[in-house]
Amino acid sequence: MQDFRYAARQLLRNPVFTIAAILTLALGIGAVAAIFTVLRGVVLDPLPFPDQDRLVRLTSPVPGIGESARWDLSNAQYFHFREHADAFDRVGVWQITGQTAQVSDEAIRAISAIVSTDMMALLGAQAAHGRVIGPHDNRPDAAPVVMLSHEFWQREFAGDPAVIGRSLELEGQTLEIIGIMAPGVRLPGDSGLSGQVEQPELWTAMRLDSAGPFFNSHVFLGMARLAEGVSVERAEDEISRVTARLPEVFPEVYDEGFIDQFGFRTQLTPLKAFELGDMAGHLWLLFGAIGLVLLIALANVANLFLVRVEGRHRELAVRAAVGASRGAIARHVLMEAMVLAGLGGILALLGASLGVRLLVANAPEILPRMDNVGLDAGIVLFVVSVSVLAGLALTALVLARYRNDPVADVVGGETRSATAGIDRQRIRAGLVAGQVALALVLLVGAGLLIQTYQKLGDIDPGFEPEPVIRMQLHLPNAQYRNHAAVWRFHGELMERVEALPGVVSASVGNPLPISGEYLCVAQDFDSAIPADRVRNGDETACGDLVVTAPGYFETLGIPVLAGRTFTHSDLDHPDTGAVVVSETFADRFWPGEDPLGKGVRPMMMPGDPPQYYRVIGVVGDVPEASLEGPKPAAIYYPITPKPGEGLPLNPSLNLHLIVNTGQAARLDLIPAIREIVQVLDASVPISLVGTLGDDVADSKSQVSFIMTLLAIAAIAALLLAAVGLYGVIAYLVARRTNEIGIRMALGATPRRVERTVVAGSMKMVGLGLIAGLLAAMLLTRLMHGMLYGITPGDPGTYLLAAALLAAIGLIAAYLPARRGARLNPVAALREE
Amino acid sequence: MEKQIHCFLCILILLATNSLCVNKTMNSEELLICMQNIKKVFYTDEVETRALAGIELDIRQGEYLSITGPSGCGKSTLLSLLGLLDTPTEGRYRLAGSEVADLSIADRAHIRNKEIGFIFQAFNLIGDLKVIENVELPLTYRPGVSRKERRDRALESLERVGMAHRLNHYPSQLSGGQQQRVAVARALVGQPSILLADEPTGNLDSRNGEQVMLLLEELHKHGATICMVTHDPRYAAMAERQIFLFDGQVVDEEEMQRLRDEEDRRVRELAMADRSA
Repeated sequence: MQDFRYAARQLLRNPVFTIAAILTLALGIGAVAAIFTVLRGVVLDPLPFPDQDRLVRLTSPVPGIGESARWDLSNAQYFHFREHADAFDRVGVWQITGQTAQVSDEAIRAISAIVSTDMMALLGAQAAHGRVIGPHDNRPDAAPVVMLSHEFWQREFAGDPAVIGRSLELEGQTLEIIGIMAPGVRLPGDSGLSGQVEQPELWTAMRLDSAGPFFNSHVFLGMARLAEGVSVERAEDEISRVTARLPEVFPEVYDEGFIDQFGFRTQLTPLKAFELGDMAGHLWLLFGAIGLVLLIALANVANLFLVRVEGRHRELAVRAAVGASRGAIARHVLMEAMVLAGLGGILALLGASLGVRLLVANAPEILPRMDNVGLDAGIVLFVVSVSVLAGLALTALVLARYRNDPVADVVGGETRSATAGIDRQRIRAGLVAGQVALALVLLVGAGLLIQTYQKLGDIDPGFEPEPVIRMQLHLPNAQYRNHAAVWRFHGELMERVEALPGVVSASVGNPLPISGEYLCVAQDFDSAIPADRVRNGDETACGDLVVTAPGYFETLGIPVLAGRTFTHSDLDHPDTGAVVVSETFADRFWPGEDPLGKGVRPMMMPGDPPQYYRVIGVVGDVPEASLEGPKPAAIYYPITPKPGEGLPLNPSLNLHLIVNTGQAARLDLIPAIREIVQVLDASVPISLVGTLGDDVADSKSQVSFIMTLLAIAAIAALLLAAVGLYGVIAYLVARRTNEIGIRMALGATPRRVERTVVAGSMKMVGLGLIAGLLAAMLLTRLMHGMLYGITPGDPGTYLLAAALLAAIGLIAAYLPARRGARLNPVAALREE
Repeated sequence: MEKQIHCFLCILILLATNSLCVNKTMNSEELLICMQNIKKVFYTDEVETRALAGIELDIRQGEYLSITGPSGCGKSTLLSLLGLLDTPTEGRYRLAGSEVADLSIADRAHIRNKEIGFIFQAFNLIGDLKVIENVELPLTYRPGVSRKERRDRALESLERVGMAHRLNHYPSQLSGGQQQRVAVARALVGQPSILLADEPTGNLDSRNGEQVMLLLEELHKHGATICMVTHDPRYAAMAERQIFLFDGQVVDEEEMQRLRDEEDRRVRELAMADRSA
């Protein structure tokens, strides 16, 4: 207690030092705590599912279709795995879709999950009221039932428990409300596709029949729980064998040729890894970067602390001389360091709380599990641990400096030499060089990301997103059972919207560029060459299917490279079979040939006899999911297929209405557009209202988020390093006053004194730059997946960052050097 | 008009005082330093302290001069002015035939480097530099001296003071006497016109102090001009000429004795009055 009082008194006597040290520690620890909070919430915390470490997502890579082609499961796979995969304890599949519900005579667009048997158990779902969906609800002949999410129940039924047992009309079908899902129950996310999965508002039972019919239609999202003691690798081995038997068990769906030709298999991915995707790596990288800031802050405080303890070396020597043991002196130092670290930690907690709120508010939508991010006792413990470690590190550094008898430091030769001891200078030079090195690593990292962001901005998206408003329309299946009805609705809608003042053009289509929702569908060709190339495995058969209407390309600003685009006549008379392809599609399947007039159709398309569509036009490429990502080999079919055939899509199609409003997106037109939809059909809900410009910005949001945080870290590091450098050099100049006096007495001019001080300081900076360059070369390799258009070893970035730090080092060294050069030599010689 | 007359007078005075040094130089070509009416006033917090009050001082080449006087009499201030570490508030100062009282800081540094060698009471060696580097230091500030020449001259200088065997040691590894010898070697290395020694034995025991004094005497015998400030009358007496300073003025030996006696008497009277009270 006495030590504590003494430490507190000492610190109060030196408020400038104390405040500077506490603020620096608070900045470093607070930043680390804030990022750790996000890292823990997003990456480290377990998923909210029972036995979550045994859960895996099931997908089916089909490299023969496309390098990144990854299908979900078919109903055949689902039943096959349930029956034959011993590695699995449970297997579940689900679908998530937008459905129209009638609530109080109003059509509401609700996100609906259709779940198989076992999904409730896999998710650990509990009912807040009523019951959860049970295995009997999943029987094909079971009465249709629905569970409401807690939020939906609160919002639409004001939390009325009497809703249990009532019926709800969904897509024209009447379902019994059997329960209210407990808050927090959710489906696994999928960061690999379109960001955070929208969580269901309604849960319905999937009523699959194990007797079939079965389809090679991979539309079921799948997950499984590994049996006790079974590893992912062992399970994958078994599932490979089980998958290979699909043609034997389901000969009407799978044939061996298909599996061999397209490399079809089943892949198991631990659920958390699947959900987080690249984000886990990015957050670890960010945590490492902020950790570097903490190290720089610690180096700064260590320097301040060393200076302060050195200023008290006589006092410590006197204490030692009157009998204080080394342990007692160490206790003094430790207590002072702990008080500093403790106060820094308290302030860091406040800073971290603010930082976390800012991070959560500004995080991109694709960052999963942000709802799980928040300060709690665990974070407090983390801050306390880091603070204690910081205090111990400071103490250790001081004790290392005073490892000899402190009495000897004073009574010994110190008064004879004109500069600080070599040991002390080495420690300080090491700390400064370390700060410079760490700051350089951060600067290079931030520089690489900033350039990535700039290069992303320079990419020509291939269309004009800025003036386009988009919204998704959900035509109820019950009313729009055929494509002609769908086209009638949309044709009328397009005509009315185009008549609005300020609207340049309007159309419908699905998917839209940069949405990440392109559906890879194998194509069949009328000519031998592309068919042979596909058969020989030289090319995949994949075409990214888009359904469109007249005006789609014009509204989006996609250039027409050859031929023409769709007209109303093509849709009114679908028997003509017009199709438009993208440049990539044409180059892939008809390289060096004129694609116009060539025949193509979706493979395995129902309908007999199959007829080919004829290419009427070639258009420019657009990005699939991100600006820097691959361009889809898009094939644009009209929303009205040829008579007697059907595209492998629901007729209602959930098409997006796109409206071009000239120079910029006119959001003020949205109410008028909504009104037109309402007038045409009040039962059609609208969702995903926004602009394509926002979609493009969102595609860069992950890079922009990490870049912004890394840039902030780099700026903080730069400032801390500059302040640290200035502080140390100013202190060294103060300590070298006598030496400067001697040099002046021996004939050194002021300029020469400046040069000497600056050169000495720049040696430290230079050492740090060399170490920093080497460290940056190693560490920036970790950023490889985040960069676009620039390599981790880009020499320009390294040179610029090093030059910036060198310039800052030069300024930080020059200011105290100039002050030193202006010393009165007589007074300087009198200094001890 | 008044201003013009004033300036005219200034010029006349300037010419007159300048001619004194010139004449003296003409009378004796060995005159190295000529100080005329040197005054130094320090101003601190509105307090004016007259450290030197009209010093007249000549030093011939090859002369060994000691400056003595009680604490606070202005010895160190005078040495600072002689060594161009400071500038006089008033007065004329010629060094080796050049007017040096009003030079810029950089010009004074150049002259200091070329003409003056300092020996300090606290040795003032640079702790981070080895002995040889400390001795080379003045030559590093002199353009046109090659690294080899620096090393050779530093070695030669260290040999003169008997410290050539310690050239790779750091100052903290040497005794006080050895450090002062190194400091002397450093003062000699630039072959200055004059060595200025400020209490060179002040931090040494008597044996080491005597050795340093013998070294200075030896240097003088070989032609060095030395100006030494010291408290110790024994060491002061080793110089060819003694200058006595009292209250910022040069006084002769008799006057010095009289002033000292007077001061002693005053102190005794004050003590007696204190006791009787």
